Amino acid sequence: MEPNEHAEEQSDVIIGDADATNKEQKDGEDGVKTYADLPLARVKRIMKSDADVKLISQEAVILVAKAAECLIEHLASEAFKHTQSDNRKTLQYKDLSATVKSSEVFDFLEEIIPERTQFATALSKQNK
Amino acid sequence: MSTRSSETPSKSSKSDSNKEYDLPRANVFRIAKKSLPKEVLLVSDSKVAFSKAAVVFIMYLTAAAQDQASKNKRSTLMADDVLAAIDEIELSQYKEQLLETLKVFRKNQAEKKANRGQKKVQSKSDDTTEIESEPE
Repeated sequence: MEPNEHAEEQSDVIIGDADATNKEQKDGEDGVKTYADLPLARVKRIMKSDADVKLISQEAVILVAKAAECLIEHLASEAFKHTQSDNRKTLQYKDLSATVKSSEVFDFLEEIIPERTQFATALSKQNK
Repeated sequence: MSTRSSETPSKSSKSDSNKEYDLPRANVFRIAKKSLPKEVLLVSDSKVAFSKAAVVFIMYLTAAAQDQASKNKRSTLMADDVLAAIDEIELSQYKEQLLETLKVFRKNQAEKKANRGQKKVQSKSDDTTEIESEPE
């Protein structure tokens, strides 16, 4: 897994397009380089939604963005194991919910990617 | 099938879950595809789930990092806080990539600084015949 790592000066990150990500780092240019495949400004905004967070260093934003990228990759590859065991080529929601359920490390995602129940089951539970 | 929109707050009670925050779907999709074989397809449900997961994770990691900063009596979230937080949330497997990213970033910052120094020398003398170069 080789993320396309290039320097990013501005906090308003311009996401590298295919060209940018293939460029080697160039000196002399105010090179548009990306450290993670997520817009840093957006990541920073999400981080600041926490009222306790006051100031954030640029390095911290980059690391959080990178970590989020790792998380997505991690989730995808774990979920895919469920896809494979079911002989499918399409990664479905249930593969993700199964992944979240099966590993403690994904506990924080339990409410975001819950297991879905059949409507009938939920209804009968309600009626009891 | 009853599906509830996930308005439920993330594990961190500090985060403000009333506002909508999201990440560009295309980027998230691209990242997910990177670790999957080419022929694997993602349905829209799972794309949405990936996106939400990433957002919640950012909030979760930030809260953990903020705890670290507070412990060290700092008001600014620094790289070290994020790295310590990663250990706290038991995702140390990401650390290698994070450290690599940090290394690259710091190297580039140092180079930029050096280049700025060079440019200053250049602009001082209009007819530049020599440029001071500082080897790393």
